[in-house]
Amino acid sequence: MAYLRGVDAAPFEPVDESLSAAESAEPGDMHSGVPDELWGTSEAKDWGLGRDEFNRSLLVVGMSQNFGLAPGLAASDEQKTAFFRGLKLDDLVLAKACAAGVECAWEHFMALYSQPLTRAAIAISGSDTVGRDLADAFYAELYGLRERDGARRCPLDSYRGRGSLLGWLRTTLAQRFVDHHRRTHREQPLNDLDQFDTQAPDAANVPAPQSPMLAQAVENALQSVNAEERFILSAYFLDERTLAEIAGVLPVHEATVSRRLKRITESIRKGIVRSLLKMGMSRRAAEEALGSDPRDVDLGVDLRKLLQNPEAKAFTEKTVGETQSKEAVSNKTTSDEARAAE
Amino acid sequence: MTRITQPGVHPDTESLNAFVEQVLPLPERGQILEHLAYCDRCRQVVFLVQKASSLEVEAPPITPSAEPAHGWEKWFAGWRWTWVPAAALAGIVGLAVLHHYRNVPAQMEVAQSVPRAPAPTGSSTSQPLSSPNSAQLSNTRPAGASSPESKDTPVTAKRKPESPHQGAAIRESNKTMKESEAVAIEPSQPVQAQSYQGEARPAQKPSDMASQRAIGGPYAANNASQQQASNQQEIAKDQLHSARYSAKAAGVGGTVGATTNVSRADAQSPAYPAAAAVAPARQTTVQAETSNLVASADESLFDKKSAVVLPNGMRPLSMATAQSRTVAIDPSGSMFLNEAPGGQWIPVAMQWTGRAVLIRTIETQLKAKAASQPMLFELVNDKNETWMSSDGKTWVPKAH
Repeated sequence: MAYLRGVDAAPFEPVDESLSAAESAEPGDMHSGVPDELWGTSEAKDWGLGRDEFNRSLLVVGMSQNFGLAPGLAASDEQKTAFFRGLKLDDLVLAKACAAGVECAWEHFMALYSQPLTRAAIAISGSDTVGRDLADAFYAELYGLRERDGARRCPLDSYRGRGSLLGWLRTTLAQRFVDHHRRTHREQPLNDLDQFDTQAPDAANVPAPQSPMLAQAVENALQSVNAEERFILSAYFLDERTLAEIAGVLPVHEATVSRRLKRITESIRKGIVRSLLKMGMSRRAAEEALGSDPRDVDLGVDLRKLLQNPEAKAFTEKTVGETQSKEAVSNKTTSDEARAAE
Repeated sequence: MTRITQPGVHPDTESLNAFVEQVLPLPERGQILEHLAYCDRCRQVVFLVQKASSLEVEAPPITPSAEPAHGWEKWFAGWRWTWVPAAALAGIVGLAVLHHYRNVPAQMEVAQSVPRAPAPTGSSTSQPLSSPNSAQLSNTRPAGASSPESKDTPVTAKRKPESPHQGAAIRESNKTMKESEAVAIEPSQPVQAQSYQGEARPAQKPSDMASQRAIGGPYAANNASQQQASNQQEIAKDQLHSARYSAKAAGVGGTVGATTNVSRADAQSPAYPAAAAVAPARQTTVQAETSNLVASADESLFDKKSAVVLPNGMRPLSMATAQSRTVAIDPSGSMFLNEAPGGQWIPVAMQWTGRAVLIRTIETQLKAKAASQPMLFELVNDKNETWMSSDGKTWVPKAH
């Protein structure tokens, strides 16, 4: 149950208040017949979900994701239809039914995901005991044993159906495990303090700060690399992931990752040299400052910061976009209510 | 994307999952990659999910509805080329079992109906049966006129149980016997009591053997094959065991009031019918002469036995009297000798192996043959081995 403590913030995202106001709305201005088609293809009836509840869930999902478009963009009817058809409707209605406490849905959920979820927890934690503990705690939370503001909270309520439910469960498990690990892995028993004291580096051993010209050159070079290449650099050099792991995430062949990695490092190396040359350093001095391998460079700077593109305000913009989508849902709800009043 | 209380802003679970499953549109995918480039927490989450997904691909989830069929197919996937010999083996086993069950009733019938070889005394084979049932048999079907098919008739079923124990053994093995037939062989039935008195014990007599041969028909007329003989021996051993157990269950030292059925069915018969059932199997080999000369105890012996109490407080399991000497064995196998009527019982030292289950006298023909040292008693142990004695004290293995 340790995974439930201290992860109150991360575990699952509550349904936005503004989205919950769209309860009486219909799922957008889709092509006629699409809602019926979605209703017919889903198993919502099997789990006891009504048509209104199904439509409301679709609307909440669509507006919270802006129908799969970039924030701020208005989705057309075709885009909305394509978005809804791309949803995992079966998983979505199952999650909604479980969140609503439908017993048969829970039985089906447990029969379908109990073992895979336990296996995933074991694979994520790398330990059978920890994995089972993690999975059991997650089951309890999924079942809605936790309450917030007197209401039963089920993480499945935040499932949007863009990916598979099993993948969503795995991701949630991984988030909890990582958050727990990051929160606790630095905790050391007091007995180990002496060891830390003896291993504390002397001031003389601290590497001398390199030339600010080199640091500036590295920063400039990294900024010219796109997001995927910076992800590869981070995963390979900082996280020390294998080529196969990186290839599995992207997904490309690991040989492709190897070639791209080589190309990126050479490009960065050239960019650094070029920057140094621009700064007035001779080529020989630049080569000596850089060394033979970029991985040997100890710049004394935070590469993580360097790898972050300061100009890519992605999630800030996304947050703004979310606000816009919430406003759109509110407006939509208001207009629907007005239409219903007429 | 949801703002959380941790430092920084992370993609929500939905977006990370969609990124791992490659279902995100390119712009959103670029945003996630942009975040992953510097957020080691989300990178760690993504790699862990990817690792768990790849492991799950190796062990795909099984839907509960399709689980039986999937498991069946999965099981057979590894044994695809072995099911043919397995099926052939199963077929052979099935045929063997079928063949066995078809032959068991016939073999058991042979075990019951194979007569002893004709006694050298030349006893008449056409002598009518002594018991009413046997008489009925002889009246309804002449000797030698029976057919193998007729053994399934109710009349034959009444003949089958030569003793309660044999009947029980037959009931267990003969699955095709009808309910009414099974009832007919119950030891508590009056008919059974009659058949016990009239058939079971006298079945060893030449006259009854003749009647059995008549009932057995072709089976009795022909010599049993070697396999049949071995089967008969097995059946007889089973009957011997069942007799032994029923003797224990009846409690030989129990109340005398139960002896009307029990004393004959349990106190006396545990050894007697067992040995009698063993006899046909042995008879088919070499022991026809001596087996024919075995005389059963008469009716008065039952009454005598019921009145006798051995020095160890037990009642005799088997008892035989010859030339004023009486030899008795108790249910534990101990032997006692009484050399004079009304005398004391003297324990006899054990000179045989196993547990003595039957003591009987030897008729005069054999005595005449061995006039130098006439053998009076014959002892049979639980392994169907025989010892002989001329005085009840000294026992020697019977020469085969």
